[in-house]
Amino acid sequence: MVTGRYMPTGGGTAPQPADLEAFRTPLRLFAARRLHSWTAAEDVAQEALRVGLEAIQTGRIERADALGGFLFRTAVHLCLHRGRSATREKRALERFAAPHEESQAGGDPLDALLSSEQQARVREALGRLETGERELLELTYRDGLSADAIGQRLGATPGAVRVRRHRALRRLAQLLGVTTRPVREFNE
Amino acid sequence: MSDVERNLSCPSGGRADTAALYLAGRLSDSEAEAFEEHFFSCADCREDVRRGAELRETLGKPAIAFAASERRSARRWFPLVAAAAIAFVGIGLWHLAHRTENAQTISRGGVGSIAGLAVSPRSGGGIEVTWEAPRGAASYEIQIFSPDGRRLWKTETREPRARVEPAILSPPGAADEIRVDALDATGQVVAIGEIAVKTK
Repeated sequence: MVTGRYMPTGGGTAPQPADLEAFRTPLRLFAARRLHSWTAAEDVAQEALRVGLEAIQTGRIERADALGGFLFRTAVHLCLHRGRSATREKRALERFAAPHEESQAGGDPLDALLSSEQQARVREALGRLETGERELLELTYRDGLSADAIGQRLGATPGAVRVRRHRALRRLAQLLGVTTRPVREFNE
Repeated sequence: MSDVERNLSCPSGGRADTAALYLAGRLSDSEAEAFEEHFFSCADCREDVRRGAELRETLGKPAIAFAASERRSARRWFPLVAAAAIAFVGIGLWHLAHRTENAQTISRGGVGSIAGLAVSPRSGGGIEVTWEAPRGAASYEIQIFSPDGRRLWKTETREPRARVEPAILSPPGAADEIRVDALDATGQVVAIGEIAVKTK
């Protein structure tokens, strides 16, 4: 059962429009998970960012650490609204269009977060990791295994898995030329 | 303390775990939603999610596993469905004489289960999925998931049946999961049915 809530610790400075960009991918993922469509997710992300920009420019968000919460609530609202609109649209189509037995909705042409160029960069960086590091990241992100499950598979403690994975991620970030954030300690 | 709880008490360890489980669709709905609310306010966790999505795509997975619906995650039930499919094959019911082998439907608390969900082979290849129309159902959403949880296909229909072309299904021997959500006129789920199918 989840009981905790994160308390923002950021400063009290006003958010800047440039702060919005860090939320674009999280917004797309958030919306895609709910709406099952990357096209719709892109629309929600764009709209949420637009609303966020407007709120920043009109001074409705006073503190930078409140921006995430504002965008989260906006995205929840937009996804709910979109779901209702989709239902209305479907009903309207059913009223006016010829009856159809099935409508294909399988492939989504925008079913990708990264460009092929970016993927190639990440793939190349993964290839430069040590075999054990790469395996650890594959088990985590490709297979979706927890540190406990990986530990059982590799004969290591969950804590050791977390530390090794942290190092692997840091090394990957270095290979990609990403400036790593300050390291936080792992609590066992 | 679970990884999710650990994650929600940032700064602490376990973040990459939670982000990876979230992206893989392995958190419960309530855990996923709590984590979403959290990472919008936590730059570190947000970065974990972004980087995890990037890695998943590079490793050939979708950036994030869609929730099977806004309602429930089908993948959490998949091992049970797959096990039922294997048991069904072992019993050797009449399905074995055809090209498909299937399993039983799964009922869930809160939402009714779809009765009569069945799979039969089509003469021209592929399969036909049929079910009994539950009360109040106005339309149906049908999704097919591969054994590793990837969505292979999705369609909507107003009839209690759907045809699936053979090219959509996994290679012979792999047990795909078919999920049918019955929706009322407002788009709310009134019943759910799941069945596993394995082509020979």
